[in-house]
Amino acid sequence: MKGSRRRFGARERFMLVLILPAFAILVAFQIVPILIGANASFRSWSLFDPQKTFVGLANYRRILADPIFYGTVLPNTLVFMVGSVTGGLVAGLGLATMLNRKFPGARLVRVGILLPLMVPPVVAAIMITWMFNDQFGVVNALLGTLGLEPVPWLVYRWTSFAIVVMTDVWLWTPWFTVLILAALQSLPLEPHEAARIDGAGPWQVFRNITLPLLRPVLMVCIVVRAIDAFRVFDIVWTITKGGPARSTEVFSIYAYKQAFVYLNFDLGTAASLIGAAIIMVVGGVLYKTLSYVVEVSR
Amino acid sequence: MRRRTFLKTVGGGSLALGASRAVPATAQQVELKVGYMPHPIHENSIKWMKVWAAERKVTLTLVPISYEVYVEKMTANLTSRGGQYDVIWHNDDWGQLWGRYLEPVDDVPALKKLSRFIMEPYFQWEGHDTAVPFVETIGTFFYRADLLKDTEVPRTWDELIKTSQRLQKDGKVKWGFVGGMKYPHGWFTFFWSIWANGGDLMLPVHERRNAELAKNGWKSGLAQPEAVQAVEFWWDNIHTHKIAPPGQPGYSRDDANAIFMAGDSAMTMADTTLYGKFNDPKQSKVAGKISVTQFIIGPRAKFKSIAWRDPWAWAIPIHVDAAKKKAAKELLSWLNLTHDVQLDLWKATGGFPPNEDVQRELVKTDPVFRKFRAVTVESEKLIHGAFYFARWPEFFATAIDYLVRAVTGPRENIKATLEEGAKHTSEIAART
Repeated sequence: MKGSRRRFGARERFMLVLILPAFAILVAFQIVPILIGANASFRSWSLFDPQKTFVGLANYRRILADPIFYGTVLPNTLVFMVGSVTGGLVAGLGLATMLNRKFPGARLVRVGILLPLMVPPVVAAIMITWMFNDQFGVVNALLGTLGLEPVPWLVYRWTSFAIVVMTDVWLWTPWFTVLILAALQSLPLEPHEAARIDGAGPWQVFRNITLPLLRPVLMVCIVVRAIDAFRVFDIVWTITKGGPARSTEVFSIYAYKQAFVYLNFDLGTAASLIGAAIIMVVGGVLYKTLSYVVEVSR
Repeated sequence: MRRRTFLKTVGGGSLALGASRAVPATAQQVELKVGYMPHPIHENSIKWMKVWAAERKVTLTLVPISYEVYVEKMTANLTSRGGQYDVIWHNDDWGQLWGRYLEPVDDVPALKKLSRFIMEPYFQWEGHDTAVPFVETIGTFFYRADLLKDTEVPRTWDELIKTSQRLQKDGKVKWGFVGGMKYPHGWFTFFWSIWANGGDLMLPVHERRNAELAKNGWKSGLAQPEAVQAVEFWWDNIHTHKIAPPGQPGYSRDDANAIFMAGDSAMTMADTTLYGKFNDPKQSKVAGKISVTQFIIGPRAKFKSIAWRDPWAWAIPIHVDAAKKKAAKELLSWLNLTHDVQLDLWKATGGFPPNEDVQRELVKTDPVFRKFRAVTVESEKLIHGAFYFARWPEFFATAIDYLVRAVTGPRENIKATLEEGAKHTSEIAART
């Protein structure tokens, strides 16, 4: 009794009052919709005629047995996640290393590199779609000047998919750059100087000193971006809508199409919850790996 | 005491709020919120809505919604009884989804002036009409009249290929034909060609009554010889004859229209409602150089001509208040009964006015309308351009996926892909 009173003293109550508005918003706009969605996933619930009959796990069984889901959507999502995170990380690391040096116009270059971060993803995706338009696009025009045949980029699975990944990498590289640059600038100078005195070349210094010291930051970047990339919707929807013939469909597009194109709200919500479970597992594994790697690198 | 004061305040406030909501809208200025798609036809209709609203001091609030998300957004609005719209755009192939959520409009006088063909079966729910058409949407072939004389216009698929190749060889155009293919734009390539080859998406051919489709086991027509041949026709046009752009399987109707309006294609297939846009020199390089013809007929067809005839309509959500319903019905009737509105619709856009009196008047006075009518609604076969079972949105999207997969894969896989598609789409339809 005494203990509980001590825990909820005036200070704690004040803190709870401060938290309350944010908590209320979270409940209203996150928790309640998730619960409604979870409820719908156990019912027969079409968007145009919500019968709401309880059907148990039938919707989950249908999603898990759908060849598009396990044969196309899940592999696409994982390939997108790996491709986007790897591309962004490598490009961001390279740019951050370059920007960490002093050179004339460095500030201007930094601002220029940050520009994609300020472009809304949908705008970027529309721009990219036009660039790769087979009739009016600048990419095919360039190919034409080189005497090459135009390519129908958005008709084939892997060219479409590559464009989507490339767009995401372009949009997210500045984010990686900013974080890695901040980390680079906070690294201790002594290990680098000692290595140079010992005769290590720039690559050896980077490989054996800089990279291990950056590892905690890189791991945080990877986990955060990987979880975010798993949920990608806007870029894929704007560029391919999951096409041609569902071949570039990723997880969020699949759930959206079930709920709002096919109007099967029940299957859409079941798919969303399956996705949430998968990302929780993937996120958990990544987090454990991060903790382990950071611990080892200490 | 303090608690009581609080309850009084809250209770009093709620009552006041409730009372203010209960004041009939007739006592205030009526506001009509219109949910529409940015399209020349809608914009024309809205132009006249504004005239009507200004005369009657009605406030019109216009809410544009992209076609790509229209069905899902509006379905969610109707099922949740949202107050975002008082008048909504309604299309024939959504009739089965929205019927129960729409205000019956049997009492709208203008409906007596319309052909029942553009009302049934889709704009009927439990014996009541549920929408008021504002245009007839009819697909037709547009061609470059400056490149092709009337006698040179292709009538068969074979002629389409030869004519296109001749024009391409002469350097007149980049492409012979262009049309939208990807979901939801398959009408402008796959669907017309399947229909013009004597096939259909569901069997029996040309049947649209759900009871009859059910009696036939919800059998998809995707793997029938007519459909397979139509897909082979497109495969050859893109890969072998090269008369259509290689990017076509990824085109929406807007992509295809842009190529036609840029003067890069000799022919396209589109709704007549695009005539005004194609003929607008500000938007189109082919303005003043276009004409129309009937669907180009495939080798398996046992008829000389075929066309689809469907409406776009305005409807009223059942949950809007009585004063708004009354005003909306008056507006929708006025749009159809006012000859100036109907004539302007045709002249500005190429959309057929639904009022049959006006159509008769135009047949007498307007040779262009006469030609449009001759190549479309006067065709030997007249069908509806969609199906009206509950699972049609899923059927439609899935069918297009298989058709696109077939046309972008190896030619020898077309039949197998369509057989798989037929099985899958039949299963979807049977869940209705």
